[in-house]
Amino acid sequence: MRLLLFAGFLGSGKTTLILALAKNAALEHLRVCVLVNEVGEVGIDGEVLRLGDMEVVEITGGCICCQIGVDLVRALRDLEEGFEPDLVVIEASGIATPEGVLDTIRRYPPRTLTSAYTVTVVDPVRFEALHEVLTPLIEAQIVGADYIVITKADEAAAGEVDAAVRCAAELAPGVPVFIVDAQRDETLAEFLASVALTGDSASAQAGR
Amino acid sequence: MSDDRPEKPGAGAERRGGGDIPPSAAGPLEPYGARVLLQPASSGLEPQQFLTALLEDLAASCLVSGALVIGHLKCLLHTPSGVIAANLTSVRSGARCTAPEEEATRVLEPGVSARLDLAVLVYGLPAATVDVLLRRALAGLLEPLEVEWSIAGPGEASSTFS
Repeated sequence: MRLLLFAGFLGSGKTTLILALAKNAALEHLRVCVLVNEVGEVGIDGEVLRLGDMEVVEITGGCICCQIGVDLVRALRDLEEGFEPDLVVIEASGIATPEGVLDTIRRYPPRTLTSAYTVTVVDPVRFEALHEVLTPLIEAQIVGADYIVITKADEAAAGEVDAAVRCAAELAPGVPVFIVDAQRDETLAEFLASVALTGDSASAQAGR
Repeated sequence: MSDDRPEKPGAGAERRGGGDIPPSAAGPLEPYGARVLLQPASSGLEPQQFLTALLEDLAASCLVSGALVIGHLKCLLHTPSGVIAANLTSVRSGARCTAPEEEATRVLEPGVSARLDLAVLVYGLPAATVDVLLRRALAGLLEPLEVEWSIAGPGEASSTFS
């Protein structure tokens, strides 16, 4: 069982990317399941993913990186035994850090886990403003990435994508950075599905 | 982990520090969620127009009321014929709606009920204030159109995150 953790601030585009990824994974006949953790009592992302025909498990009642890690462990084990997925995608809440989530998984790894990679999703339109006032969170999300995906390139003003790329390169040197927009999501999803299918390293897949 | 598992979950793990994040300069995040029941009484309601206006009004009023960061406003409108999603991450970008093609222009007819699930994630504003702002926005948008509405819950914050 492979695991892809999607991190990134609220509204950065995680759910959209996961939907695109899942469509491609389904074409490869992979059994895919998504674990969604949202803050707040009214969950929206899980329902959106279900509308996209995804197998979804929602973890509610807190943040899986710092409050309810035990629920994540239980959900992963239940999935492993009941669904036997090839790929589990975890959509972390927008206020989660990859390290917090992966620390839990490292301590209590699913029996069949073969690889785990983190994809951090960055919205360049709001990046500089968010980085300024939420510095520790935004930097922790980037620092922990195995892949960085900069979304909404078609919405960003000149210089906003460059600023996000520069910051990503400083905080996570050597990590592959992908720039996507509404027209390029499918290409990215094919790439991610390929990684999930083959288990090759991020660097190798990126041709680095 | 045993030998058939990776020694570490991806190379990014080497760069990661501790899991605890210091409090932000944006103030606390109190997630707010509400379930709103809608029913047009005399004239129809155009869902996409309504959702866009609601999210944009609410985001603007959150900022005016002291929110320091708009995290994400997102909602799903469940109608008898389908579901329409909308979300907003900044006032500058505005709200975006996504709906199946056949739902995009369908009007919610008088007497037909719909349910709106709404999540508001903003930093620096108490959930109770968001609740007031939501009620104000709903009244401003729906009452001129004679659409009956009520908040069925949860209508309050579940936790606070620093």
